[in-house]
Amino acid sequence: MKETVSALYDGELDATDMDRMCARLKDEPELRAAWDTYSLIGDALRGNAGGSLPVAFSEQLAAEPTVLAPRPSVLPVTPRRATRMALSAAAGIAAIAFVGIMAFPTLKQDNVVPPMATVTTGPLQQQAAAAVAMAQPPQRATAAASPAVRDYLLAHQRFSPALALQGAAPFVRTVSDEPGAGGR
Amino acid sequence: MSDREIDQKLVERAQRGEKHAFDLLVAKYQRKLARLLSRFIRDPAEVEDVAQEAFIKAYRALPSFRGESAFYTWLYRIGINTAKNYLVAMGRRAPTVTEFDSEEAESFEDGEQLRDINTPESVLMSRQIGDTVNEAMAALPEELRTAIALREIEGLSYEEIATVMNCPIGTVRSRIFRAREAIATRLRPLLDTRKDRRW
Amino acid sequence: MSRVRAGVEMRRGWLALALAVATPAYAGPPPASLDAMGWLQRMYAASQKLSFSGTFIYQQGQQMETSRIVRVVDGTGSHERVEVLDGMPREILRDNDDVTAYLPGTLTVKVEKKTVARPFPGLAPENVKDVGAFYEVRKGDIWRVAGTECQSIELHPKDAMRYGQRLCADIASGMLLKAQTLNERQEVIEQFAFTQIRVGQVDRSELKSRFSGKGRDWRVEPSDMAPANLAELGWSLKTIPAGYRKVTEVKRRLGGHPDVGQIVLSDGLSAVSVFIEPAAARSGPPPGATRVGATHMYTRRVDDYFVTVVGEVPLENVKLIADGVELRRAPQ
Repeated sequence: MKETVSALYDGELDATDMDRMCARLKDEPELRAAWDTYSLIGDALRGNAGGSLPVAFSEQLAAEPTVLAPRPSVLPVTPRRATRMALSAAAGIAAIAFVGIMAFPTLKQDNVVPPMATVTTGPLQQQAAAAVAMAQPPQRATAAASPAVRDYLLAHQRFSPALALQGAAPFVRTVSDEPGAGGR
Repeated sequence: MSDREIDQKLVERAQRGEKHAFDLLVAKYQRKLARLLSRFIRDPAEVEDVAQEAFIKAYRALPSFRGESAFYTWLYRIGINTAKNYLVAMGRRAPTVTEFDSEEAESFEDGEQLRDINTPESVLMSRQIGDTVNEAMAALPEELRTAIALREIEGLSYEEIATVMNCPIGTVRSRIFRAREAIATRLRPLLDTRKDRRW
Repeated sequence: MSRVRAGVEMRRGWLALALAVATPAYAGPPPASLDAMGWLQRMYAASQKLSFSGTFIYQQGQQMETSRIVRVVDGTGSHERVEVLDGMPREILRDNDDVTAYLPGTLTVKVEKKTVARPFPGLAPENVKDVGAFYEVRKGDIWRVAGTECQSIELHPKDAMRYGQRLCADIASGMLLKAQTLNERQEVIEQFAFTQIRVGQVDRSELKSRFSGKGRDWRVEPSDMAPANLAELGWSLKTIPAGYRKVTEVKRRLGGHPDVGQIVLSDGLSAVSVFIEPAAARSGPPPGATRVGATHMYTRRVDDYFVTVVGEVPLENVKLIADGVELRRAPQ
């Protein structure tokens, strides 16, 4: 059952199962504890283990007048985050060399040869290929909203010593907020 | 992303009067919001107060949330406004860190942490949690570690992970669950000593 | 928005590093006996000599972008093309020191031509050792990147004014395959990493922009750069972090304004730019701090101008410099 909580937490259950599990989380403390723990684990992996609220907050929330704003339950089409692989969708076969970027945010593991996920051979499963082929653009890498910020970045970047070592690669920082890049 | 579906479902349930669903969202985003607020507010106790206020405000404002953006994006904006109002009310100048476009709320926070968000006595606790999780990760078999890292750090869906790891989606689901449980087992003794926090 | 890239071909298998063919002609000791400084020099030499094509990711926080890169080094110098694969295609072309960015979203071409004849600071072999004054340079562990083994070199900053770097170079060729920027807690705040690379044998046609010959009505924004002496106009930088020296000083076009001063400072590994713009008709960021990945910006108003300091350095650095910018007006 906790495995279902795990899948629920990742948003990977279908609508009916989601409904069922949400109801059970309310009634079964052990399942609720799993949700809380998985959330903590995720945050800890991203270097953010602190900041949990006190237990008393639940009471404060409970004391709030219940809001009611029922809407028709229509899930928006959720754009999938683009995978970082280019696929030859027509052929259905992709040869991929993929390096998992294992950024354990808190340092200790940094100098160890990081684990990698590598797919070396083989055709993709049909449905996976089809689903991934319509991948949407990801969220933009940088967050600068105004063109002006990008102008400064570009003007600065061309004098960076990194040019000597990395050539033009770091310039991707400066073009990442193009309108339409990552838009829906 | 798959996050959006579960968040949307929880918001809908909350909008239909199920407060518990909102509580699940609080559990999920409390630390992320606290980290955001700590960019503006030094005192960890104040961060905690403002975070709670922001969540209450978000709950009250639920009727106006229509799902046009991700839930956290919307919460992020409420968090920023609550922090700014708080600083103004305290007679402090709100720092002028440029706010990024809300869709980029995710990317805004990770990376450099401007200040520690924990009270001195819980600094140790959160570091211990971090260390314990790291140790647990290192002890995991590689396929479990990879699966959970791709999910939690890279944000890939099960489908995408299945493609990368060249295994069925069911295996992805199982690996992530087993990784979580292994880490949770190591965490349990630590968490049991601190019952007043919502882990 | 579909992301199919017909021309992009990913190689099978772990690695496609055609090393044996592209053995670089470096004299020098075999890799095992190289010290950290030696590795830096080797990395630099490789970047000056090797042609390659590959795919890399740029990661900042949890966001990641994939790009294709091609570099050709020949008798005419070094030429590069980088194409961002995620989202709308954006392109950067480099011909030696001239950089052109194609931004189809706004139909803009930004051109940064080098009109100031001054060599870059930094990791040229003769001044690699200068970096050691402000960074501890050490050999780190062996990493696997793009399917091959790499030696990591770690540059630890000696103060809080700069970020650390971890550079991972392919053991066989010395090519830099991964570069991470680290904050004071050794957290990776930004990284570039190749996921696939093929050294040598690059077709020059791959350098051609996908936007050339489209006949579109692009707006071209040249930088109109010219050497300048801002001290003559009364500007001075009173507070600069240790080790940062002026590298270049120009007047140029920036955004809407034709006449913006830019001073570039560097400690050999990182650089900071000081932009000075007249306040009227300015469209830059508001006063205060901004962060984009590992880059910080800090803006403040000085007299009738806005001063913006930008660099891949901690906020304290750009703020220190910005707070120390002074204008002494000549007596009327």
